[in-house]
Amino acid sequence: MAYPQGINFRSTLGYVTDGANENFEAAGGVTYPRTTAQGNTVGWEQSVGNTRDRNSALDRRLAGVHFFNTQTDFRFDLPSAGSYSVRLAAGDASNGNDTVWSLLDTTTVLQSLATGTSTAGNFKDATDTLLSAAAWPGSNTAVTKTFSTTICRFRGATVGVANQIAHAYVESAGGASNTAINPGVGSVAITGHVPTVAQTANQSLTPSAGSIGITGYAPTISQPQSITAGGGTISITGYAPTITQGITTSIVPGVGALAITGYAPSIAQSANQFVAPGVGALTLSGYAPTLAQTANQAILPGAGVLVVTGYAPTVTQASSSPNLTPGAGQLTITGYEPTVTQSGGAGRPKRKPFQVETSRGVLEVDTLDEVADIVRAEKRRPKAAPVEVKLGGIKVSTPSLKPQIDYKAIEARMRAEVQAEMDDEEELLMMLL
Amino acid sequence: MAIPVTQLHILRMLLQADQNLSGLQGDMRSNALTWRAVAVAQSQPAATLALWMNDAAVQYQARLGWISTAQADAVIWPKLSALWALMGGTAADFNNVTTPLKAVADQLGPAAKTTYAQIIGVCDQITTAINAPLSLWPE
Repeated sequence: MAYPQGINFRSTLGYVTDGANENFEAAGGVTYPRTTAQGNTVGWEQSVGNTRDRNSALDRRLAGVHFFNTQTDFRFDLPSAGSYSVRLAAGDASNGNDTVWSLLDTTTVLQSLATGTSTAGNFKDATDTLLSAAAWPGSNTAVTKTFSTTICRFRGATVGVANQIAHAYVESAGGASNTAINPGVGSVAITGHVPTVAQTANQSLTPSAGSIGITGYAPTISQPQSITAGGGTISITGYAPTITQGITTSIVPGVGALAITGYAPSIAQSANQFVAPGVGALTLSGYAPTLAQTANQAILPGAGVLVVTGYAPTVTQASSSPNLTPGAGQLTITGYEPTVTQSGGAGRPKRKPFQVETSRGVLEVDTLDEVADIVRAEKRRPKAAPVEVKLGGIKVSTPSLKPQIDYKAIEARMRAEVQAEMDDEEELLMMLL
Repeated sequence: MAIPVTQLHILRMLLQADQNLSGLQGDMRSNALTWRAVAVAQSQPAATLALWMNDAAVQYQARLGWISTAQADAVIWPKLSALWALMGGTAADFNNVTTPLKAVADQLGPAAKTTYAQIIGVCDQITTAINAPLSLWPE
């Protein structure tokens, strides 16, 4: 159903031209159910025998009239329960008569809209205000009510002479389906328990020069398309906020920021996406924030910053080609027990102190005992080759079948390192004093 | 004590069925003519017209559903059919009316309606398939 829906009550279709969201009601009898050109089902539920064309020079909504003297309901079938705004023009361009109208939610009276009578050329609006024909178009006031059912009735009461109506109008006070979320210059805020934005294909969430904020308990965005902050920001906070996107979409804050905070915020992406803040920042913070990516993705803050903070933040990347390259920015992982786990082919393990060059290549070991074991093993080989031992990359032995560990060289190196530390401390003390 | 279902109530349902189906026949045709005029004048965006047409299709289905729901009522429909038979009517009378109406309702939603030309084409198909209901006076 395409609301808003206005109904212009008169006798002849072509007497005036109805507005875009308006439909002509000819009456002459019971007309419900009648589907308007706007796709809404409306109609008189009781026979209305009196219809007139009055003055085509007036606003199209005031040009005609229906009148009757027994209780008569005009019904609008609403698309759903909810909040709706209604407008009324109760009057007659040519005569004064009764204007006793109520608004009903099926059979429950929500409000008295108009009472008493009108005078010729004047119309009561939904707040029972008498307005001239010239004033009504710009000055009539709507009444907003919450309907718990899907039947809206404008009820004309039984009166002594004639109850009259020229125009009735119903508009949803909330958003209808297929409404775009484009705050433009401004903001869209969705809060509360389980707030959601669910869009099907071909919509975008583009704050343009404003912002989109989704907060509360388990806020979610589910889209198959991109989330582009443009010149603004997109923020998702709260308990377990999530962004779930299908393949081939990206999260690109552009000039701005994409922030996901709260309890266990997460970004989960399948293959072939990237998280690229570009000129900006991508921040994951809070309790156990996670970035989980499958193979072949990169985390490249480019000229910006990638920050993962909080309690046990983790970055987990699959094997083969994982890449943590901040480029011209920085990659920071802080918090309680932050971890970076990478598997296969990337990075180098921490270097061990002793490097032993053998016929089998360079072996790294932690202790002199291990060095000795290697030397003995090399001696037993059929074609034993010279063995050279280095400590921290500096040679501490002469190559031979029976290499001698130059303990003096080791001691000298260690003394030199300790002395260097002492010199640094002494210099610092001198500066302080 | 609840008021039992009497022939008065059955007669009311029969009259409502007529009101509904005759009205639907009229609405389908008049709305198609309205949409066509708007498309020719291009006084509304094609997307707006398409939205109206899609919403109308939903409403048409809902109104036809009232008839099929009544037809599925094992208590009411036999009584209504019996009253209708007294007037010389048959079950085929209902099907002869509902079948073309349902065809329009079924096809209107999925029809291509992104351009004015497409909308005009759809409207022409409707007015070809649905003639105005019989009326004592001009409508």
